[in-house]
Amino acid sequence: MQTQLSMINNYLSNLRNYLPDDLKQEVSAELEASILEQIEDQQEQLGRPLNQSEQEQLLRAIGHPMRVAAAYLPNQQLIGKEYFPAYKKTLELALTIVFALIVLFSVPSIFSNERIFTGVASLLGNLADTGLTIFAIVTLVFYLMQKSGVSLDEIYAWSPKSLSNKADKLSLSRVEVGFEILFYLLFLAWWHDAIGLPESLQANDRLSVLALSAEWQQVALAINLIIGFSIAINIYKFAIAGWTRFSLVADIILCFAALGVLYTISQFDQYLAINIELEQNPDRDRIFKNVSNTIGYILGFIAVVNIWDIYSNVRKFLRL
Amino acid sequence: MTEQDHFQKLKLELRRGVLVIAVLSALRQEHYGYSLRKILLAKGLEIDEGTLYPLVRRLEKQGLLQSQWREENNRNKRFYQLSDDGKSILKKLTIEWQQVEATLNTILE
Repeated sequence: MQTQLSMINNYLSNLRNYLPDDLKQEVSAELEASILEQIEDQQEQLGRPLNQSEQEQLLRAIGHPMRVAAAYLPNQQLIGKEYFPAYKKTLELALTIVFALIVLFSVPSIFSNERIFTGVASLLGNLADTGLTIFAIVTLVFYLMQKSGVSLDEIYAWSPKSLSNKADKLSLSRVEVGFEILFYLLFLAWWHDAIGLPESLQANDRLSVLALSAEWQQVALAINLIIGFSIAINIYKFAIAGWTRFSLVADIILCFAALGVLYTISQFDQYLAINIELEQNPDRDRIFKNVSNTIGYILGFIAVVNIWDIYSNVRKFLRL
Repeated sequence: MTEQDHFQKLKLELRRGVLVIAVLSALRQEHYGYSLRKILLAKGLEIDEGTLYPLVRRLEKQGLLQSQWREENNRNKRFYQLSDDGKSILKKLTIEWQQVEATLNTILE
């Protein structure tokens, strides 16, 4: 009996622990009276005292003390459903603006950094860090607005006359676009590094036995522009989380431009430059041919991806 | 989510709306928490303590119920009863409920 009473007392003490001071005693006393009376009722029906397991079942039916206590508290949501649409929109806007600014201001420092991949990793860390800070600040502001009862009419102040026409859009996952931006940044980092290799060849660097030939300089600017515009378009897509006619057309144009660059590359006499070390290697021709073929396959694959993108974007455009 | 899960979720939403009317109506007579729960159960409305007691407290805070602690059978209990504001609200809610029921029955036919 002592164990059973201590089980109920423990339950009630836990409940009190989760309640605010002004509710502790009243709620606990009310529930205690209810529990004891239920036990009496059940004992009367059974004609015997309840055993420990039956009392345990009774307490389980009432629920976890934390959940029971939570039902007495006024606000059970960090951001209530009425404030949530404005909260979500504000968060999206704040994150997009801050992320775009960070990427924009980080690009020069990434490319002036000797280790470009370290620069990109630092950018990603910076994005995650700032993203979490923005998330915390916006959440806190909305929580305080909700707590202080800022009128929803003020938050959602609007007039039918002031509504602008919104372009139709097809939904798009921000995660997908985020990965695309990351891919372009990594590519840009690699490309920036690779295009500088002919100079290091002269230094007979062991790591750069093969490097891109000087002919690639013809398309360097075009590639930089295509990737740069692709990043800009993707930031726009990330901001609105969707495809619009504008972004589809821009994407199609960039795909055609990429195909033009790929065609120019396919006309190169040779993709690679060879350093002196490889020049003396008896397998030189075989290595050279294999690597050139691999580059050819990669270029072919990129062309197929671009053609597929054009086809898929035209289909999306027709759906809008 | 299975059909049964959907049903349970919708049933809960449906009941949540009418629970206030049921509790206010039952408290036209004085009750303490457990006796209120028993009387609702006897009339076919099963409701757990975790939902009923906070609801009663909320209604009291809104001024629709009045309460007092009293000893009964050597135990301190909090007795609740409809306040004047509660009576007026219950009257309006009852009319509203009857209209909703009539409308819904017409739609369901």
